[in-house]
Amino acid sequence: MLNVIELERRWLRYKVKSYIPHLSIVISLLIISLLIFTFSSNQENSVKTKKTVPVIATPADIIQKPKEMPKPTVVHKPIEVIQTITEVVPHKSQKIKLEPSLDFMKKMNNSANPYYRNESSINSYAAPYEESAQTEKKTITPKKEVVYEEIRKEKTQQKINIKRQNTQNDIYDIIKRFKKNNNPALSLFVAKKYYELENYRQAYNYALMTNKINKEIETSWIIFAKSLVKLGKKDKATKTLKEYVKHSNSNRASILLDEIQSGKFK
Amino acid sequence: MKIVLLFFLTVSLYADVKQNMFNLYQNKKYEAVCSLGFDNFKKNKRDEEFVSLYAFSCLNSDYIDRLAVPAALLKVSEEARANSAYFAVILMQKKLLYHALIDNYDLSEFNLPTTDYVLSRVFDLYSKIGKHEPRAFYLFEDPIDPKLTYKLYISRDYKLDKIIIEEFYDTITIKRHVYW
Repeated sequence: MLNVIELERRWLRYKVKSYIPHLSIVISLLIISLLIFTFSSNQENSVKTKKTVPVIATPADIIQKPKEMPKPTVVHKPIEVIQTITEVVPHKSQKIKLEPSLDFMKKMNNSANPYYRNESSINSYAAPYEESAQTEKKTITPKKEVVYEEIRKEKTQQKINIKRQNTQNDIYDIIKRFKKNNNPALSLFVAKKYYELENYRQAYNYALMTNKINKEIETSWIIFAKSLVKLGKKDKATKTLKEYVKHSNSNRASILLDEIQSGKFK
Repeated sequence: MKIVLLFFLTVSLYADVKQNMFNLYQNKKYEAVCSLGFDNFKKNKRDEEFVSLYAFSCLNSDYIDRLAVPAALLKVSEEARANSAYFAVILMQKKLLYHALIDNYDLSEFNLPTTDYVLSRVFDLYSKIGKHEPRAFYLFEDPIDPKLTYKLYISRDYKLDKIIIEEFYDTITIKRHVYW
């Protein structure tokens, strides 16, 4: 006779055993998924904390943080941030100025033919006015000295040409334009520029030209008189200024006249 | 013998071009030097003196785009490297100013080096304005010489828009620079 109870027990055991692999797989999967989840959540937390650092690091928080944080290692971080900020500020305000290097032109000039002469457009224009000055010299000095002076002038002009001077270039351009249209504003500008460059003879020449074209320009008369003083012709300067003050009642001219007479302006 | 003669002839021709350019530069014929340098550039591109002379003459005649190649080539001597940086800054400032004036690009964030060239001076003054609505023209006073003013505007052309910088001294026009 069959023992049914025993058979049922054995069937139950068999059944339970049959479920064990499934259960073990499910449990292991659960454990793995839990582990993965916890690991990923940890990573997210660490990333989040990293991301929040620059957002929180406003100057106000930086100052407050050291009070809240007891650990010295945490206190160091905001100090570093402050240092980086203070480094950036002066850097922005300063501007680095790059300068061109024109030494290669000196080398080229040294290797240039010695008999080469510059044909400056300015020289050709300025010649008549310089000639007038030279004719005055000719009466006083012998011919040889005048020739030497011309050579010296050429040499100095060559040197000036090598240097890069924007103001000189500007003057040359203006002189070209003045030659075309005889505008007194342009000659006045040239006179002013030459006066600033301490080339008083040229300043005198261009102020004189301006006065010839238009007698009513006050600044031109003032530059004319100032240049005369600088050229050592104080009497001529006071004489012309007196005449101009009589003619125009110019305040600036009368002030300058007083300064010249009192010796304030030399 | 023929080869030697040919060699000397070519050497003398190259030297002649360079010397001719230098003479023209001294006579302030910058545009002529720039075009002469441009025509003979390929043969003389290894000569840094030639390249520098060409670049400075193009700079003085406002052909800024021609500075790109000299800026890339000048690298052997210290002087050449300094000039290369100088040209590169001017070229970059021109490009940025053009972009800013046409597309209203904000330049205030930049902290670029500056130069003594007029475009650099105007670039610095323009970038100080910061973000703003585009204007028909800009008038800037030179920080060193108050009598010197710069007028900056864009000349609208059916082909190409051009940057115009006019230099004034006591309301008198001194120079007009055109860049594109």
